[in-house]
Amino acid sequence: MRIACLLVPDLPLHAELRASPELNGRPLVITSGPGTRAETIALSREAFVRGVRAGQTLPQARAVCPDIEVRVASPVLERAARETLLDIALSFAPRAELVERASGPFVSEGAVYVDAEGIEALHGSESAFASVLHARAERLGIRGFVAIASSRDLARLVARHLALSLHREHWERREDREAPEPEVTRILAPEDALAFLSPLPIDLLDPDDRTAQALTRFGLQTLRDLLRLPKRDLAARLGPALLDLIARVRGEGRETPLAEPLVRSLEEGLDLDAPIDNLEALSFVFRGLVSRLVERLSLRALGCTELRTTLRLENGARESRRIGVASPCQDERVLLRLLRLDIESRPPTAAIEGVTISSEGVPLAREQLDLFRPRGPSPRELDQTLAELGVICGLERVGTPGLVDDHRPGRFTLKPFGKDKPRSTGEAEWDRSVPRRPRLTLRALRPPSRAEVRVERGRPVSLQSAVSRGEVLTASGPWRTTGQWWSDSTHYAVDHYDIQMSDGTVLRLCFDWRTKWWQIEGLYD
Amino acid sequence: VGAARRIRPVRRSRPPQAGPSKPATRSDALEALLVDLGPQIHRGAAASQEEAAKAPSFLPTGLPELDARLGGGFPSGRLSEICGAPSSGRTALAHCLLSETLARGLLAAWIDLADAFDPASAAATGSDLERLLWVRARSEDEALRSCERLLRTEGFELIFLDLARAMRPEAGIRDVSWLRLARLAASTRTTLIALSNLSGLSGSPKTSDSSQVPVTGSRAELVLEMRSRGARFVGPPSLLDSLETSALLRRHRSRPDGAEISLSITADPS
Repeated sequence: MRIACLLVPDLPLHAELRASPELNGRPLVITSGPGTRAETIALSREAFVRGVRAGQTLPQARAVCPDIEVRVASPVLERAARETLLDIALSFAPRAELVERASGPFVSEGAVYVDAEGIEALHGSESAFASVLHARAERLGIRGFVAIASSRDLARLVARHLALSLHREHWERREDREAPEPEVTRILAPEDALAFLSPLPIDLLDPDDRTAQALTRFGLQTLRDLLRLPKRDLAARLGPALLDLIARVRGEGRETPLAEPLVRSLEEGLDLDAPIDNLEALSFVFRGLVSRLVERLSLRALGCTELRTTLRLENGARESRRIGVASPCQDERVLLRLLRLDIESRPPTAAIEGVTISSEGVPLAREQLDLFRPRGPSPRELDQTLAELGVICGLERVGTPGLVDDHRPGRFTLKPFGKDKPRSTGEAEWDRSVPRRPRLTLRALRPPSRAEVRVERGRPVSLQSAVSRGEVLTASGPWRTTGQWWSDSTHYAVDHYDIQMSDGTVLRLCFDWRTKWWQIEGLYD
Repeated sequence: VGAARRIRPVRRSRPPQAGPSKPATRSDALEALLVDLGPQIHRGAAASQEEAAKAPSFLPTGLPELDARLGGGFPSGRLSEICGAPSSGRTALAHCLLSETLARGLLAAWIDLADAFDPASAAATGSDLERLLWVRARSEDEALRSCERLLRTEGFELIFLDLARAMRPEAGIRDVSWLRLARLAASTRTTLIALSNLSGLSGSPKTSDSSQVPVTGSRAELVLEMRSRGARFVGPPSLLDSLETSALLRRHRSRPDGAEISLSITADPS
C-alpha cells in the first residue's frame, strides 16, 4: 500500500491567509485567543525572521517586531482550511482521509492522507504526483509538505520531518540567497524506511507527556536509539503505549485501506473584525466566501444547489437563510448575485458580526438540448433565472400553476417550473385549422373581497364593496358547492352567483354558509 | 429517449437498403433523414441569427379577425398593452394569446402584480400550464425586477405583466422603466404585454375618452383598448352566457389606428 500525506504545519496561519490574502508577505502571528496572555501558535516566515517565535505572548512578539499583524485563531477559518485539505485530496483520488487534530506541539498541524496506490500510472511517478499535489495546495493558498510512504504513520512522520526540520533551517538561512530551496516532497521506498527514520528525533512521534519524560530520562533522543532497545523490556518499564510507537516506526501497525468519504457538505465562514451594516461592505465579504466555496466545489467537480447562509448579528441573534439554486452551479457571479438579492429582499435586523455560507455539493449536470423542442432558455440559464426570481419574490411564489382535484373555490398549486415534462410536444399538436374563440375568464381576487349585499326574495339586488358598488342588474345562481361535511375544520358550503352590476362589471359573488359572509371571488374579464 | 421514440417510425418508413435509392454517403443519409424528419424538427430548435430574423414577427391570438386587423398578431420583441375596464375582456384576450403561444411549444411567463391569474380559466382556454411560469409579485418593485430578469433570459417568447389590480391604485411605473423594458424585450425578441386599467377609469368603466392614457405612455408598439358592451344571460335558469366586448386599436406603429372589432367572450366556445 502506498499512501501520500499532505501536511500543513501552520494551518491557522494558512487559514487566515486564505481569507485575507492581502496579509501575504507581512509579519503575521496567530494567537490562541484575544488578550495579552494569549500565546503565538503560528507565525509567518516574515515574523520568524524578525525574531518572533511560537509560544511567545503577544507583548513578547510586539517587543521584537512592533509592526506585527496579529490575528486570533478562528475555528471557523481553520475548519474550512482543514476541509479544503480533504477537497484537495479528493481531487486526486476517491479515497482520502482527514487526520484528526493533534495536540501538544503539533496542535496547529493539519494533514490529509491520499490513496497513492498505482498513482504513477496517472502521473508518471510518485514523485511527479507529490509535486502536483503540493502545487495544487499552494495554488489554493495552503503551503504544505507531501510525503509518500507505505503507511499512514510513516508518511506523516516524513512529512512532519520535512516541515519541522528542513523548513525551519531554510527560514534561518534567510540571508543566504544561494541556499537551495527547501525540500517539500519526499518519496520513501519501503526498503529505505528504517534507514531514513533512524536519525530522526523521537519527538516527531508526538509521544504523550509521560512517555516523553521517560524517554528523556533514559537518554533516548532518536528513533535509532529507540529501535535498538528490546521491545518487551521497554514495554514492561514504560507501558504498552511505547509498543505502539515502535510499531508505527517499523511500519508494523495494522494498515486499513482508506475509506471513500461521503461528506459533500462544504462550509466557509468568517468572523468580522467590526460589525457590518451596509450591503456594499457585505458584498466584499460574500465575494471572498463564495470565491473560496467555488474553488472547493470545482476541486471536487461538484455544484451548489442550495446556499445556506447564517448571519451572526450584533444583537446576539442568528439568522439562517436558504437560497435555492435550481441546478448545480459553480458560477461565482451567479451565487454572489443571489446572495446580494437575498440580502436586499430581506435585510438583516442588525449589523452583521459573522457570516457562514454552506452548500451541499451535488454532481454537475450536463445540458442536454432537444432537437424536437422549440427554442428555449438553456437549462442552466433558466435555473439561474428561477433562482433569482425565487429570491426576488419568494420561492413559494414562483412556479408552474397547477389544478387541484378539489371543488373548494380558489384552489391551485404552484409547482417548480420545468420539473415536469410539458403535456404537449409543440407544433405537432398545434392545429391552426380550428379558429379559437375567447372564453369567459375569471380574474381572481386573493383574498376574496368582502361585500355587503342586499337580498330580496332570495336574490341579491344591490352590492357594496371595494371592487364594485351599485344595483345588481342580472344574477345567475345560486350554484351550491359543499363538501368535507364530516370535518368541522375543513367543511365548506358556498353559494355562487354570477352577477352583472350597474357599473358594467360582471362578478362571481359567493355566500359562505359557515361564516355567513358575502364575498367577491373574482371578476369575469 | 423522446427523440429516439420519434425516430423509430421514420426508420420503418424508409425504403429498403438495397437498390439505387440507398444513400451513398453519410451526408446523403443525413440529408434523407432530415427530409424525413422535417416536419418534426421545430423551426426554432437550431435557428441561426438570420433564420431568427426571418421568423414571423408577430404572435397571433388565434382570433382570425383580430389578427387580421393587427397585421398578424402582437408584434414580437415589442412592448404592447391591453388596457380597459374590468369585465371588458382584457384577460380573456390575453389567455387566447397565451394559449396560442403555449400550443406552439413556446414558453411564456405571467408576472402577476394583481395576483389575479386563475389557473382553471387558463386551463379551460386550452393552455398547457406546464410551459407557463407564474410569478406572483407582491409589489411594483418585485414585478419590475422579475420582468427585467425574465426579459434577459432568452427563450421566453411571451411575457405578460399584469398590472390591472381591482382594488389598489394603478401601479406607478415610470416612463423610463417602460423604456428600459421595451429595449430589453427588443434585445431578446421577447413579446412583452402589459395588462392594465386605463388611468382614471374607475369612475366610468364603460367608456373612455382621449384623456385616459395607457400606463405604458408612448412606449408601447401597440395599444389595444378593450371596451365592455355588457353581459348576456340566457335561461331559464338564468346562466351567464357571454361578455360582449370590442377591441379598439388605439395605437399601432405600423397600422392605422381606430379600428374596432367586436368580440363575444362565451362561457362555452364549442
